[in-house]
Amino acid sequence: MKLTRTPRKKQQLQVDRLAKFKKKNADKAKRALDKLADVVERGENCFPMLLEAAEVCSLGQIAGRLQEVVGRFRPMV
Amino acid sequence: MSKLGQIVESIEKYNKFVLDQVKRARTDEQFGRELLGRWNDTKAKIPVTRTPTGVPLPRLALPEIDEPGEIARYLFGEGLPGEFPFLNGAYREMYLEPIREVESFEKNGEPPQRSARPPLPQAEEPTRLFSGLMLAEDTNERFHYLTQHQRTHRLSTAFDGPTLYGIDSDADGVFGKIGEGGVAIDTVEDMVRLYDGFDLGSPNFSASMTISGPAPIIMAMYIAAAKRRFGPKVVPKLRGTIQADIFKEVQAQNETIFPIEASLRFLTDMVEFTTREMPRWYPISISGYHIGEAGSTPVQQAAYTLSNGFAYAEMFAARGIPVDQFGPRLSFFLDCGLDAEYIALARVSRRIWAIGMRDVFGAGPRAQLFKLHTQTSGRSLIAAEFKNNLTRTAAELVLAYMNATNSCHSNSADEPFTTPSEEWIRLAAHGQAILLEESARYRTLRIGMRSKSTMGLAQSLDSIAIATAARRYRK
Repeated sequence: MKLTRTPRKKQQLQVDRLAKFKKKNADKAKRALDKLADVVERGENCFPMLLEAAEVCSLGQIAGRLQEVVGRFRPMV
Repeated sequence: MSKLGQIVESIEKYNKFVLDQVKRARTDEQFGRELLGRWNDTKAKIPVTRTPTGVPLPRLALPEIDEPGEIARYLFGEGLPGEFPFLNGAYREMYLEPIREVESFEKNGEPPQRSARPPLPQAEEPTRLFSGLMLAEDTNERFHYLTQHQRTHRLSTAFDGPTLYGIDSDADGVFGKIGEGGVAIDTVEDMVRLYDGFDLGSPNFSASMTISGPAPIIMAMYIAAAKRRFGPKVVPKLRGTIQADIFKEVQAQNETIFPIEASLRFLTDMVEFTTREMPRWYPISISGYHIGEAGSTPVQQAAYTLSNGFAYAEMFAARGIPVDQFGPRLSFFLDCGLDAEYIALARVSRRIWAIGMRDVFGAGPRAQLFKLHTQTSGRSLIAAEFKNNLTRTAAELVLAYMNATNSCHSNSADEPFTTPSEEWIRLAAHGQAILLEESARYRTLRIGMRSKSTMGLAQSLDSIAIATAARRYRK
């Protein structure tokens, strides 16, 4: 039975691509994340700013920055 | 009284209204005659199609009743397909093949008159196969494989674990999880690769993205990717769904990354934006599937899904978004297993939703529709003698389509032990094609869905679901 699994080579390729993206956009990402954090703190609709951030930031960068502002989910059980 | 308490009351009130109409139809002669006239008129106008051997089949199968009380029970209690309270279907014809002129009105010998009836919706395949594996380009290849012979390209996207938790592929400890159980998406560039070769602005394309915790971020990446490929004018044309169901995550699936209040605020920000700027997008898929798969009973699944849906509606209304702006953009997702309740669960859910939205939220007709995606039950599949999973899934598919689901995913038989391989996902897709295109049952809608026993089950499910909601929320 053939199992579908992701080869290590592909996983490494994803990590390398991400490093390249982060390096290329480092300055722009920082500015976008600062602006995003501001909007969230002011309580305005943050979606337009998310649209800007998504151009130059990774998912983890945006989620991480938002968690710095609003905190993390903690299970209630 | 809480909103949910009001909804429970509105259902009880509506059920009483139906009983009153039944009584009136039997005692008030003129009213009875009116109903009978309307019923005969409706039946006379049903277009007829034919089997390959020439046997006529009505495109809409209605019960053989001619007693005014029974007619009232049907028209008010269930509604014709596409009519309030939508028990029999959100739309009149769903996925029937578009009518051919020669067939229309054949029954009473009238020539076809385009203006005499509402335009029929364009039929499209309701098949949606949930896919995501390895990197964006691998999933893209799978998407092209699955849709190569489809008129419409409806993609349903599964993300890998790190993405679902809003974590990058380069984070500590996630390396071995990259591309497992779904596709790895870190950046807008991955998103461009994921849907490469598809025309994102076309009416024949839509993308569904199954992600909740970081949904607003992924949504923003999708829009950014679409803009990169097609320019800013594509945004209002985008069609699709993002799951974004935070309540369900907290209740059953646990892929939540922000505190609940913050998650709900980000969700509402997204809903406010998309319902205004992207009129064809569904920014939430209110999901019972995961609640069911996590071990709830089918009725609990429906009760939680509906009460979550009403809670979202309350929240969006509180933000000031008009109910007729957000209502038509809510969509739902239920499980379909082999348990008896699934014979009628989706039908009952559709009715409760319509009544609550109309009578408590003041929603117009388009905002009353419980538009449903169904997936066959993953937990009903087992690894031992796994080829039997084809039969399990086929039986569940029949149930799902009997409930007039708007779209459907059929599970791949090898899922108990692997991300679907091409061989078995192909059979899962063929299962739907056989059911929808080869099976004569689906040339007419809903034959056999309304036996007396089915209706009895629907009534008892209705009262149990209401009682479940009432116990939790009435104050």
